[in-house]
Formats: sequence, structure tokens, C-alpha cells
Amino acid sequence: TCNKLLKKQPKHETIRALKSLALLRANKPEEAIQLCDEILAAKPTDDTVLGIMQHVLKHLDRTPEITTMFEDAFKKQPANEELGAQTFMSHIRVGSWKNAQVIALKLFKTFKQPKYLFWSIMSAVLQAQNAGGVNPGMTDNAPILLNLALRMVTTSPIPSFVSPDHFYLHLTILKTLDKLDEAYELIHSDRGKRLCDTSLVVDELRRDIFKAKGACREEAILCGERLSKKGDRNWITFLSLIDSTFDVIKLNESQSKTDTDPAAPAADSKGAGPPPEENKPASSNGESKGEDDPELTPKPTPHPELPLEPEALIEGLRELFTRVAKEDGLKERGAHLASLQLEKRIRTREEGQGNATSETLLFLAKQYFDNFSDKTCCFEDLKPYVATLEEGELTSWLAFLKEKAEARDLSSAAGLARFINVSKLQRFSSSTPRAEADEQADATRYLKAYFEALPLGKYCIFSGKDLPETELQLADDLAILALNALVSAWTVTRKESYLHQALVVLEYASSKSKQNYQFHVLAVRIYRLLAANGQALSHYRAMDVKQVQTDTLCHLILSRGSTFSLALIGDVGMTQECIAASEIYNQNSSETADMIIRAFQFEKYSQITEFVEFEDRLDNSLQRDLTRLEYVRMKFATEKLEPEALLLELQELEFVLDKMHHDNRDFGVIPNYQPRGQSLADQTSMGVVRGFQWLTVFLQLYIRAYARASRVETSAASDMNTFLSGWLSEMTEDEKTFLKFSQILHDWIPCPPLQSREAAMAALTGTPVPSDGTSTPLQNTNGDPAAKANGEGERKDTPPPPHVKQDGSDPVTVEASAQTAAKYFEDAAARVKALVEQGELLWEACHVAALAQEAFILLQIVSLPYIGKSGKSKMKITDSGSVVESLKSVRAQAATQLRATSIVLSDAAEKEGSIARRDKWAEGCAALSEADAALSTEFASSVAKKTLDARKTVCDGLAKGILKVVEGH
Amino acid sequence: MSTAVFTRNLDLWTETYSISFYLNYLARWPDLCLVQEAPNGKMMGYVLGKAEGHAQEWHGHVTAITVAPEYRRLGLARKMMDELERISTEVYNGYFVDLYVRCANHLAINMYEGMGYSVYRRVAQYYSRLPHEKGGRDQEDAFDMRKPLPRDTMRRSVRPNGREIIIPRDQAP
Repeated sequence: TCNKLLKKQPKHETIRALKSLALLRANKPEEAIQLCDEILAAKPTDDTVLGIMQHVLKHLDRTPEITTMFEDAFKKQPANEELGAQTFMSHIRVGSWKNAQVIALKLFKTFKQPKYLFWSIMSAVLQAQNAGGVNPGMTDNAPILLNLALRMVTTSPIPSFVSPDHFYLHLTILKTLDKLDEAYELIHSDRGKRLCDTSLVVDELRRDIFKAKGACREEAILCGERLSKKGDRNWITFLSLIDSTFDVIKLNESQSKTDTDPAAPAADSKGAGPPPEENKPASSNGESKGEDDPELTPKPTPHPELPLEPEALIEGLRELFTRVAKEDGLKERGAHLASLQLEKRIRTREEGQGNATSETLLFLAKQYFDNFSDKTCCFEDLKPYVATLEEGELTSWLAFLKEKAEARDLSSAAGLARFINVSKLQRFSSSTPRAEADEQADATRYLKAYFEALPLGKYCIFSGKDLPETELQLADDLAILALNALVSAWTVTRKESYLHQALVVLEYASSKSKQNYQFHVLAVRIYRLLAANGQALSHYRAMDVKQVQTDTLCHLILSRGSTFSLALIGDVGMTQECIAASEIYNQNSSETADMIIRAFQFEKYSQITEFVEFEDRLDNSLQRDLTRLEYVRMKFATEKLEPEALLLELQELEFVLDKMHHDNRDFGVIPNYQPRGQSLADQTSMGVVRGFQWLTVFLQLYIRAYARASRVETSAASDMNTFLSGWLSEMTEDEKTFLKFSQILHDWIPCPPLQSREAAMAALTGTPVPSDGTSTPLQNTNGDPAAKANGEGERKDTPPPPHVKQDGSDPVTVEASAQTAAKYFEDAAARVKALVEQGELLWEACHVAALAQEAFILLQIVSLPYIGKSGKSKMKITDSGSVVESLKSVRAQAATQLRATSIVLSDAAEKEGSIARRDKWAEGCAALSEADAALSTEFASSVAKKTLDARKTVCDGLAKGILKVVEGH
Repeated sequence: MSTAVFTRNLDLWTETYSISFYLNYLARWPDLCLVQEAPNGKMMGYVLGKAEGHAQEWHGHVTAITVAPEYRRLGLARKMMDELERISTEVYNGYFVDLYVRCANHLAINMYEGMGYSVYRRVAQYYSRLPHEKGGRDQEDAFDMRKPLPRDTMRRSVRPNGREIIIPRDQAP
């Protein structure tokens, strides 16, 4: 249709723009780009055209040009308000706060709308914070920017009181500029007070300002008043009351010191805290007498409503919390918990002063238990306080719990909740390590209780009808407790049958409570340890992890996920998970920017900084790049290795390496009821948890290999040996060995002649190289400086013998290195065999095998310049005969070893499939039937079958995949 | 409410929405978006609300409210609703607060009635079917429940026969 219309009106911009969009949608990017460029060259100003072009450019990943397009249009039509606003938005979208600030100010001057002024102010603040930048944080010119922003606020035609968000912005500027007195004054105005009362964000900022100013006395009084008179039960208020009261104590102490020592400079009291700002003599405790007396003029005497003595201040809090707790009864946990929190704080103070601790905390913990043990949250509530109990107190506490456990009553929901709380607290309070027998006995105890209590969940306690499948069982946590005990028994004994039992319990409980995600989380972890990845995957999928959860939770299935990838034999389950988990980052880049703009449109300035931070956290997520790297490791086994593709990949990895990452992974989702100091998450981790260091090391490893393969220099990768010292805590032993192997490769295979990046890219895209000397694709063979940089440049003390000499390689060292490289494969094969034979956790054997396969591919990659098949970028390498020889020889040896590993794995697969194996597996779970007949050997056998089948698939797949790699390359 | 809250939401009844869904609420009605955190930092529950409607229909609306299983039966939902009603009154000066609930979700309906809400009308086929459920009218229809705020002096948002008044989905806002 566009074409038809264009015939009539060939210059009609809207239609041309639409055509460009249509071409893009029709997957004709070249034509679309051409048309798009033509339209842009004409510098359109029409609203519709601009709107369409914005879409086109967005699709083409040319967002920065949107800004230029709008800028140009606005310059042409400076009276067009809409264009101006769009230009502003386009700057916001790409985070160029400075330009946004300028445009907004221009808009304000032209159109006089206060909104534009505040846009400019907010942009200045973002600029000062360097929000979303590479190094977020205050910039050097922040004071200038913020003072400018402040001047704009104070000269604005509307006061900042108009909305909580304007006020928030104003206070933020004052606080950042450390103009606390001014901020304080604003807060104390009538309208300021009202805004603090109705807006939580403003009140939070108010609290920060009070704290920064050292107005602890006032904060204490304010919180006391809110709690005692206004029915405020916000936990933050309780906490702030406790914190500020202890600040008051500190302040009083430092002031009395200053008083007795007149020589001490006045600044001392400021250092310890705040200058005082109240003026009447002390009288009662934290409760207000009702008179409203905000004092703006700091005077050096204590507040009338706060006593001077620390004991009196603390006693005041105790009384307040007790009174509020009594008033609220059991409907509110706040004041009850606050009493505990206060005692914990007192304990820290007493310990600091070397005093003996009182027993109040223990007493209160028992009281809290008696009051709230019928609520599920009781355990989580008490945890931090129980953790501070001393040895002697713990004995008393455990005796108390034992008594409660003996009085168990599982006939009601409340009784069940109490028993669950007792059990969790008992485990948490017990000393580590626990013996196998204890854990075994506990597991049975929990399971018996689980089955006894299960009928409680048959009917909905509220409606009396059958419990719908969408509801959770009340007894679920007992199964999770049993699982904790079983895993603990396994960590003590390494008897795998405990893990099998854990799976049987999980599968049973999960079938009774389909929506309990904790069962799925735990099942994923344990199935992975046993290399039953298919089972892990189906439990993971049952959780229906989606949207932003993929960022926080995909680590559950993707951590070292390439170990189980069967992409080589056509099973794309794991690679698909990588793709699915990465989708959110695209969503983030488009949607979050839109929402930042929306927050500007609706003038919700309090949200903007946080949105920008959110975008940054997701954009630079550690998991994002762990997933990316895992995907690379899954995929390169399946793809033909070509220097051109590797060059592109290389650039992406270098980009990743430069990022400042955020770790958003959620490990708290793994329920933990282990004794103090143990963590179920750690116990069920498939290898040590990976983090920034792991990512850096592996990125560098691949960057270096890819750079060699595509014959370009890279500054990103240094000597891997420098990592071998401190940086390796995030790697498994086998990953460390793999890393060493990569270093051997690097030292052994001489660096090929390098070409410049531009030349390499030009060769890749087919564009002609500009004809100046620097871009000759072939640089002077071995003598060039780039080769040197990749050679011995920054080697540290104990690396393998360097031999990448400019004048060719030393054949003796080459031979030695080649042998070491070949030895890696021999060792790996032996290790896989040993792990399988010794019956270690199967994931480990898979891990070693997968790494050996990866090592083989790595060898292929770095050999590319010498044995590459592709003729396109082939360069002559002089005197490479001996290198090629030894490469071929190592490869042949590696292939032999990998074939052996493949056989070991396929033998293992066969065993996994046998009936005898299944029976043995089920027999190992016989102890469970003691707890209840439902956990019979038949049931265990059905779980065993699924598990073993999944293991068989993994072993088989790995075995076949290895053969493919060995033969295919 | 912080943007970090919607990352851990694995409850079947609480849909996990896109980034822009949450951020849109935060970008427009941040004071009607509340989260309750336990002292240990765990999220206990959250509510997302908005203000909408013309003239005498100007009101606060509860889009989503959820409490984590381990923090139920503590009155958290009521507290969040109280706060949302307070803000709807003091900041937005609305006539009422309303919410939609599956007709089959008796538990929730009872709870809202206990908080002073009553059925104003029934919206046909408002929800899609839940997994594991057979469907049916009560599964898919919603009750629009309302609670008058002080400004609704005439109590127009309350009517005794609300359950019998059915409107099609496209007429609901």
C-alpha cells in the first residue's frame, strides 16, 4: 500500500516513514535502512514522521540517533512545545542528563510551565549523581550542579510543597549539599510536616536528614509519640526509636565529657553525633507530654522530655514497648519484637562495657514463643535473637523447647504450627556438627509428624470444604525439615542414599502440595547434584519462573548448566533456558526507559533515581553475563569454529569484561533449617558458588583464546597464572585445572602474526580497508609489537617456561609443553573413570568430562591460525611446521582420551538403566517406610526410575556429544 | 515501595507481571504502592493501587494485594488496605476504594467484607481461567467490591443488591 501511495505523492514523508517501518517488519533491513537514512537526512519535523522514525530507529538499535533527530527538529521549530518535550524525553531515554537539563530549561523559558523547570532540576540531580553511568556516584562538579538545581527550586514560580515528589526532590538536593539546617526548617513548616505525615518516601528522607543532622533527641521523641499516640506500628519507627535513643545516650555521654573538660574543643560533640537543639530540663521518658515544640534554634541543653541517665532512657523504652504490646495484645508483633530488639541492643552495649548480660533476652524469647508460636513466622522472627544467646542460655532455651516438643499436639492448625516452630528452633539452636544418628532420628521424627498432620490439610480450615489443589499443605514445612536433616546426614557421611531419600520425600510432599515452590527449588538442587538434569529442569519449569524473576532465580538451573547441556545431540532444553532467562534484559532496555520517562511526565521525582538504579542493576546483572557465558559454552560445541564468528564473540566478551556487575541472585529462596553456621544452599550447591571473579577469569580465558584465533590483539586478557593465587575461591578444582591447561596452551602455541582490529573487522564486513599503512591486514610477521604484547609482556614469577620468542620457538620447550597439554586429557579421563567407579556424585564426573570436552574445543580454537580450514583470512605463518606437528599430535592424544571417557560414560549410562540399580536405589530408601507406609519401596522405586532415567540421558548424551566433538572437528 | 520487591513472587494466585506493569504504578501512584517487609528483610506482602474515575466515580483502586504464605493470619492485608484507604482519602480525596475479586474466591470475599467492602456489581468473564481449575462462571467472573470513604456522604458506593447487577467486561474500567 505504501508503494501505491508513494507513487501519487513520492515525497510524502509520513508514507515514506511508514514504508521504512513496513520494510523493517517485512525483514528487509537493508532497504529500510536506506530509506530511513534518506528521511533523516531531510531532517523531518512532522510529529507523526518523528514518531514513526523513533520506532524504526529503535528497531535498528540506533537509539542515539533518535535524540539527534528530535534535536534537529526542535531547532527548526523552537516554538513547537511537543517537539521540545519529545527531545527532552529522547535524552532521558539514553541517559544524557546534561542535554536533558538544557532542553528542559529552554522549554521552561519558552513556555513558562513549572513542570519543565522541575524536569531540568531533576536532570541536574541525575547528572550530579552520574546516575546509570559507569561509575555511579557523585561527580566532581556535583556541588555546582546541585547549587544550580537548588537555585532553580527556590526561584521556581511554584513552591516545592505542591506535592510530596517536588518536596522530596528539594530535600534531596539540600541533603546532598549538606544544607541540613535548611532542610530541617522546611520539614518543620506546616506543609512540610503534613507531607511527612502522608508520604512514606518523604518521611524516610526526613529521618535520614534528622540522622545526618544529629537530631537524635527529636527523632526519639517523634517516634515515641507516633508509637504511643498515633498508632504507628511501622517496624522502622520502632527501630528508629531504639537507634536514636542509643544515639542520645552516646551524645549525653560525650557532652558530659565536654562539660567536665572545658579544654575539649566544641567540635568533639559534633563528631560523636549531633549538636543538641533542645532547651528545657529533663523530665520524663520517650513519651511526649503532648506539647508540640519543634525547636529550630539549637541550644546546648538536653530535651525536656528525655532524661539524661542512660538507665532512665532505656527504662523508658522498655515501659513504652511493654505498654504498647499490652494494648495491642497478640494482634501486632511489632512491640513484642521491639522489646527483643531493645534487649539485643542493650546486650551489645553491655558487652562493649565488659558487663555481664542480663537474662531478659532469654525470658523475652520464651515469652514471644508462647505468644506467637502458632504463627508460621515465629521462627523467622526469633532467629536473630536466639543467635545472640550465650552457651548457658542456650541450654535453658533448648530445655524449654524440648518441653514444648514433648507437648506436641498435631490435631489442630495452631498445634501443628507450634510443633513446626519448635522443630525449626531446635535445629537452629543446636550445636554443629550433628551426628548421623541424630539427623536420621530427626528426619524420622519430622516425617512421622508430617504424616500425622497431613489430614489437617485435607479440608480447608476456613471453608470446611476439600482443600483445593491451589492451596499449600499446612504440614509442608515438616517435609522440608526432614529434607534438611537428610541432607545434613549426607554431608556428615557422604552416603548418597540420604540424597535419594530426600528426593523421595520431596516428590511425595510435592505431589500433595503442588504449588509449594520450595519443594521445587530443593528438588532442582538435589537432582542436579545427582546429574538427573531432566528432573531438575521439570521442577524448575513447574515454578514458572518468569519476567524479572529469571534474573534472580535462573541461577538455580543455569549455574554450571553447560555441564548438562545436550545441545550437541540436539536437545536444546538448556540452551532454551539461557535464551528465556535473557529475555528480561531486552525488556529492561526498552520498558524501564519508558517508565523513567513516564515518571517525569507524572512528576514522580521520588521514583526516578530508583528506576535508573533498577535499570542499571538489571542491565549490568552478574547473572546476565554468567548466563551469556554459559550459553557460549553450550553453543560453541555445536557450531563450526570460524575466526570471523569468534571475532564478533570476542568483542562482546570484551564489552562484558568492562562492566561493573551487580549480583541480583536470590539464594534466600532456598529454605534453610540447618543448625547455626550451616547453610542448605551451600550444602546443595553444585560446586562452589560462582561470582564476579569466576566470571572475570573465564571471560579472560575465552577472550585470550578468541583473540589468538582471530589474530587480533587484546588488552583484556592477562596471564592466567596471576589468577592461580588468590582469585580462585569461586572455582572448582577441575575448573582450576582447566584454567591451568589454558595457560599451557597459551605458552606452548606461538602467537600468530596479528592484524589490527580495524583490518580484522573490515575483512569481516567486507568493507574496503582505508589505504594507510596501519591497516595492512598482514603485519610484519613475528617481530611486531602486538605479538610481543601477547608474548611475555607481563608474566609473573612462576609460570611455565616462556618460549614465545620472536625468533621462533625452542623445539625442546615446545615438546615439553605439548606433553603437558596432552597430559591434561589423560588426567581428565582417569579422573572421570575414578569418579564413576568410586560412586562419587555423578555431577562431578559430568563436570570433569564436560570440561575436558571444552578443553578440546579450546585447543581447536587456538589452533585455528595453524590448522584452520577457512581460506578467507588465512595468513602465511613461517616456520610453523613444528607447531602444527605437535598440535596434531596433542589433538590425536586428546581424542583418544576423550573417546575413552565417552566409553566410561556410556557404560555408566547403561548401568543407570538397569533394574538392579533401581532396586538398590529403592532399597537405600527403606528407612523412610518406617516413618510412614506411604513412602514405600514401590514409591521410592518410581522416584528412582525417573532419577536414573534422567541420569542415563545425561551420561548417554555427554558420551555421544564427546564423540561428536572429537570426530567433527 | 522499592522496585526490588517484585522479584520473588512465586505464589500461584499472584501473577508476576512485566517490568513496565509495576513501574507504571510506581511512576504514577507511588503512594498507593506499599510493601511490608519483615525485620529480617523478607517481603511479607505488597499492595499496588491507583486512583481513577471521573467526578463521583473518583476513587482508589486496589490492583493487586498479596501476602506471603508464612506471614498470613497476621492481619497484614488489613493494614495495607487501611493505609491505602487513608491515602485515597487524605491525598486523593476519593469517594471510595474498590477492588476486583474472583467470585469463587470465598476466602478473600469474606476477608474484604470483614474490612467493610461490599459487592457493588458483578463483572462477567473478567478473569482468565486458572491452571488446575475447571473454569466456570464463578471462576471467571469478578465481583467489584467497594468501600465508601468519608467523602461519599450519600453512600452511593454501597448497594444491597450488588451481587445481582451484572455488567459485561468491556463496561468495567
